[in-house]
Amino acid sequence: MAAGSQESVRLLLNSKSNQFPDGLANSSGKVGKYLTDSVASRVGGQIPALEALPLHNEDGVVGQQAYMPWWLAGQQDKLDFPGGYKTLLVSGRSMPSLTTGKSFDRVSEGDGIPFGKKLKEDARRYYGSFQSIGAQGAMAANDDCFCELDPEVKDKWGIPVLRFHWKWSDDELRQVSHQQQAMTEMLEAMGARFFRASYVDKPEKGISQGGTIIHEVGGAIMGDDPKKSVANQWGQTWDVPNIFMGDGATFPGTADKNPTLTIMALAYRAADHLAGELKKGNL
Amino acid sequence: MNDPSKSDGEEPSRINRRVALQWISSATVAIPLLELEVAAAEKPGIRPPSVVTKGYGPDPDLLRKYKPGDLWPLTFDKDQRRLMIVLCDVIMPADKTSPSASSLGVHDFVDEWISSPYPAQKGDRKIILEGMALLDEKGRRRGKPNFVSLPAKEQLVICEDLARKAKANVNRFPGSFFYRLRNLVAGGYYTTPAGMKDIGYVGNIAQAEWNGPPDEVLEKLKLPAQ
Repeated sequence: MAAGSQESVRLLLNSKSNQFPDGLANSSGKVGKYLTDSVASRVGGQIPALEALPLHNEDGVVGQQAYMPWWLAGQQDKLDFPGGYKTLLVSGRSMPSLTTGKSFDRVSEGDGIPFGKKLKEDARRYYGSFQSIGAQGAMAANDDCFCELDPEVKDKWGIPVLRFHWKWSDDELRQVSHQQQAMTEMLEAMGARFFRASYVDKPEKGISQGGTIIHEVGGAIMGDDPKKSVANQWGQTWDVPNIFMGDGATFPGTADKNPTLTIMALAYRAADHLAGELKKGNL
Repeated sequence: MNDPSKSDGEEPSRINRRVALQWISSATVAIPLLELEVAAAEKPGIRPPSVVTKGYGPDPDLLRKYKPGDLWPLTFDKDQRRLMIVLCDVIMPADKTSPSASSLGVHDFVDEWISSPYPAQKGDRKIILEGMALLDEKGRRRGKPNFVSLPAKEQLVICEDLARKAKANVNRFPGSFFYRLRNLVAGGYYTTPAGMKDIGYVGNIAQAEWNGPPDEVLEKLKLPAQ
């Protein structure tokens, strides 16, 4: 079963029967529980040194090229939060879009928004000189982040949709303070002009909304105790042995990496196990 | 893209419909391909689309050559089109390195944009048409039949005032009008080949290898050459 972690959860919760009145494979009551997402924040600024650089093709610099893995692994005792985070650097002359016209308002001088000759000059000077750094970090599951069937809202086929509950814990907020401090220092070292104060002291304002990094996982987590988890280490549900979960629903937490490769590795592992069990005649 | 040198004086020729539609989809990160019906008249005196239209739908025919009005009726009448041409060139005038917005057909892009039946565009439609009506009213208050009849200097003074209002509050009319207009015209401008050249975008080309930034860039940033 691999419908995408939350859709898999929705299918299980909507599959009610006499045997499973709270949803398929849900005797533990844990289906829908322990959702996690990456813990994210960002800092941006304008770098005078990058103004009006000699023209060159900067495609690819803009998106996923510059990626900095967590650099404090093994130094957890010096930190006030568990886990770590990676940072992604976004800069350069990206292909213009409809938002290009307003992107110089923050740096343009004058008492009105720039237009005319001034806007053309600002655009030539500042285009590609903005630098943004985003962090995405680990999250441990907590009791306040979960989903359940919505008692009222249904989709166009009349099937209940999920409704979500989310609350960051102090661990995530402390991580975001650390992210903001580190990324601000990086930009300061580049000589950045900032447009607002950092969220070091107000992490609740800088932290992403749960689910918006679209690394949402969990809801049918794997574990070693059928009372506290939905699936075993193979993604096989405790209650129903012929259901294997093959998406992000089995994640008991989020690491400081994107989930896709781990989803693929776990699916590979589950398939390998499944093939072995079939050969042995156990399934 | 039509050739700026072939435009006929004050009113450049209408750009090819297909070009305008491709332009709309490249200028926006994700145009919503939802089937939505156009709302009824937003305000008395402003012409709404006369036909209910559903837009592209989820499966547009990419091989068909669309003509103006095939998907949704355009909005501007002759006077509104003349006004948008003037506004385009106040916002993105020609200078010694690049052409004006109207010579690139940006006014037609704005017409397509505000005529299309999607939620964001419908919001823009209301604000742009109300703002254009306000500008003509300002022209009449100065003893002229409309905004385009004002001397260029007076047009500029009015726009500078609106730009100040926009900087003070982008959500309050009429500053909101000038903000949206500026964003649409400048965004339309910089998503043309001429606009990309002017701003210094030289990407989106096929290349066999990527060697990082050239040495002259690294030198300027005081970084070691590769």
